[in-house]
Amino acid sequence: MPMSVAMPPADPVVLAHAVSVRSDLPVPLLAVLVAGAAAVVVSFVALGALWRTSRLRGDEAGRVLPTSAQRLLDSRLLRGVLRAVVLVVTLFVLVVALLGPRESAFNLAPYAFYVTFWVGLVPASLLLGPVWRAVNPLRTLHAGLAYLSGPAPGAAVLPRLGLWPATAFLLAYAWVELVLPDRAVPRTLGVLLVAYIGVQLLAALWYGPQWFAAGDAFEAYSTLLGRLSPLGRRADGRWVLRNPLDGVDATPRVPGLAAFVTALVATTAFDGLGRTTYYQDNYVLNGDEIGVPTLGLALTVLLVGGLYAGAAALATRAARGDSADDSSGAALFAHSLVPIAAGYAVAHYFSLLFFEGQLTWILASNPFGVDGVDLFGTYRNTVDLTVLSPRTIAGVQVGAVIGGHVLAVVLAHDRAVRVAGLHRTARTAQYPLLALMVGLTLLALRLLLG
Amino acid sequence: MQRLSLTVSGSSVTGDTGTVPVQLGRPVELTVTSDVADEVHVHGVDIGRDVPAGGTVVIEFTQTAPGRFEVELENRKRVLTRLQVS
Repeated sequence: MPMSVAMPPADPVVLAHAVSVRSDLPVPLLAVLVAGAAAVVVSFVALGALWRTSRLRGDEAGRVLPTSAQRLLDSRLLRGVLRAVVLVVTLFVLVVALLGPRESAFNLAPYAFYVTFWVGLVPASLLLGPVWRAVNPLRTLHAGLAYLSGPAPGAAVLPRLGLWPATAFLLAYAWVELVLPDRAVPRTLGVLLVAYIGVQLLAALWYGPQWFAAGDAFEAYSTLLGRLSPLGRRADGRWVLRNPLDGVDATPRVPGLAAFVTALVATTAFDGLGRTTYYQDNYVLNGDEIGVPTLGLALTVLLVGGLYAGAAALATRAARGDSADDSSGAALFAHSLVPIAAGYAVAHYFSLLFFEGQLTWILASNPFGVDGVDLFGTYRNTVDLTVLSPRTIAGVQVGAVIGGHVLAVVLAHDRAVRVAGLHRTARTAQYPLLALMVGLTLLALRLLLG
Repeated sequence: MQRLSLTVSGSSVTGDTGTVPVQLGRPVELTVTSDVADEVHVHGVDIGRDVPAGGTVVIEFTQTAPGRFEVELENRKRVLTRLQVS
């Protein structure tokens, strides 16, 4: 039951960066670490014995949905309505950020953006696929502008950029979310969002509508996590239910894919690192609020990216042998990091959606902070902390991290046996990646639960 | 009433740091003295109070849900202590 108090929600600065409710582990941390590492290693050994040839079929796989479901999913009316709704909600949140209450405690915009949108994008994409691509308000706005401005001059260059533009914008977003002290101040957030929208629209006018898949960090994020959705579109264009691993296996090997996924993994890891006693005692409160965390974030991104690139290069050299596959190592296995990024996102942020996420709806009852307004009768509610028990949180966190890593091992294994052909070579090829996986599993669990 | 106190001085935090056991439903009086201006935020009950540079703030609260909740200097993201509520 939400408690009723005399005041609207007192205080909080928004915390997409910090899980404010921490879990209770029902078992010692050491046991979880051992179990996590063991799960990854055992999966690897079992795959070697049982999964001797490639089984994944990528976008050829899946069970075709009935015609009625195909029609519904492709319905222009449904898509049009959803796009219109999302556009209106986006503009509304923007107006509230710029003109609503000045304090983040009373303004719904920071909660709507950092929690409902950014965190909510994870379950929405994992269940339904690339949802943000379907409703992206930037695409809607661009469609209107492009109608006036004519053809895009830079469209031919875009494929060569791959996911590098989205990686740059993702890192910029991560800096705002994890470093910028004023990230939750409504006016600051409003200005940042207007700037982001402006830059994205200009880029799309230059590069064409395909820009959003390559350069809008939020669409790229949703599309990548959406690869794990059981709902997908087959190569022949039909909607299918499929093994999520087939969806991930079909991830296009575009330039910058590895950079984008490792940046996702690294930024989440840095968020966890920032809460550790070690980091807190040594790097916070030493008079520098921006330089130190900026450097820490950059080093974490470079370290995770570098370790992955190194492991993947070794793996590919061993796997390829005289195979004709000419992909660089990093691109070959980058898709296997998708479930890890998804697992970290779930582990790190899901409780936030259930707790801080309530504030979006509470504050929506009086978005402009006008005395006496209480549209839904919820304005005086406070966050109900009993919706999730500490043990549920711990269970989901451990499951998401370990599950993500196990799926990654499966994906990398299947790719390695397909490329190598020879079984023994394929196994040797994976040792560097396996070592990285075990290391990342231990680190992630330690950061999350320690 | 359980009394806790924390002092922020330079880059170090002293007093009831680390993880402090707190009984569910039992009132707590938390005193924070800080040499920097910031906002002391008690998670869980979700209460924030400004503390001026060189000043002290006293926050009374009662945690009503189990879990581990941080007390932090909100703007600097400095975790001062963790309340283990059970």
